[in-house]
Amino acid sequence: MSAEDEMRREFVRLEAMSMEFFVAVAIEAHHGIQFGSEITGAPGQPVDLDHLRPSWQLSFPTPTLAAIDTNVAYAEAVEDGVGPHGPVVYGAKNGIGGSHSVALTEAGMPRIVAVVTERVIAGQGFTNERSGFSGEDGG
Amino acid sequence: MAVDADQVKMALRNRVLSALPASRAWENDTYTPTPGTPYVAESIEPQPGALLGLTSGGLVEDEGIYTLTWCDRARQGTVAFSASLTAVLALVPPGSFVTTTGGQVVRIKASPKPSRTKIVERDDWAISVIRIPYRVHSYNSQ
Repeated sequence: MSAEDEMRREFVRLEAMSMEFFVAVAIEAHHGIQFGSEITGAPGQPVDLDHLRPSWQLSFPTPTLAAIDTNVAYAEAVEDGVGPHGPVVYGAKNGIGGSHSVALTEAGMPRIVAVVTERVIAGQGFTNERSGFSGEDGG
Repeated sequence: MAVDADQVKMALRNRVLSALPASRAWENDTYTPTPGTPYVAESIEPQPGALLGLTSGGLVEDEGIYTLTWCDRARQGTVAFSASLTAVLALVPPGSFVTTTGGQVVRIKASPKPSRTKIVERDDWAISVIRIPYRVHSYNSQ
């Protein structure tokens, strides 16, 4: 194999790692919005009929864009902690979830990136136990 | 030195106090809204901190979001209300800081910077939520 081939191969490998890293960060953010996160402090979605929580979907519209969204109409009110008559503490009924998960995830993105980076440095690859996602090196 | 979220809340509250309506529902306090009287409710969402440096005396970073839910009168238009929200945000520009009674510096984050949500109508109220993300650096006492 020529030096040029080796360089090309290394470039492709780095590009693949970068993509896996990006996906791992997106999965961590998605999980935090749904179920809460010890990284960002997001409480996750409150659960009554468990309609809102599973409605949050992670997709990749382009190779460099991750979208975490929901089509549930009252998701915005839950996020903002607003009810029909004013401020509401969501999740108080059963202690599951709360408000501001998206805001806390956004504010905590550097921390998510740091944690995923630490996983890689610690030799855990891009493994995310929550999602079953596993990177090329695997651990 | 451990960061006291309540001290952070008080410092941020004092910074914006002059721009808030007279009626205030402070966190974990008794308050009954009076229809037609604008009021604000607050909460603080502390995030898990992180030790960024060495264990002994290392840099500790604590972050969180101070939120204000402003309930104004519905069906009054948005001009005055929006100006009130902007006035609050003007008191907490990104990069500025407040100091707690414990002497800790609370820095207003730049990314994401303080923001407000759109105004939504609920019952007799027009509501917007102001979010003020903050960061506090301290040193590990271990």
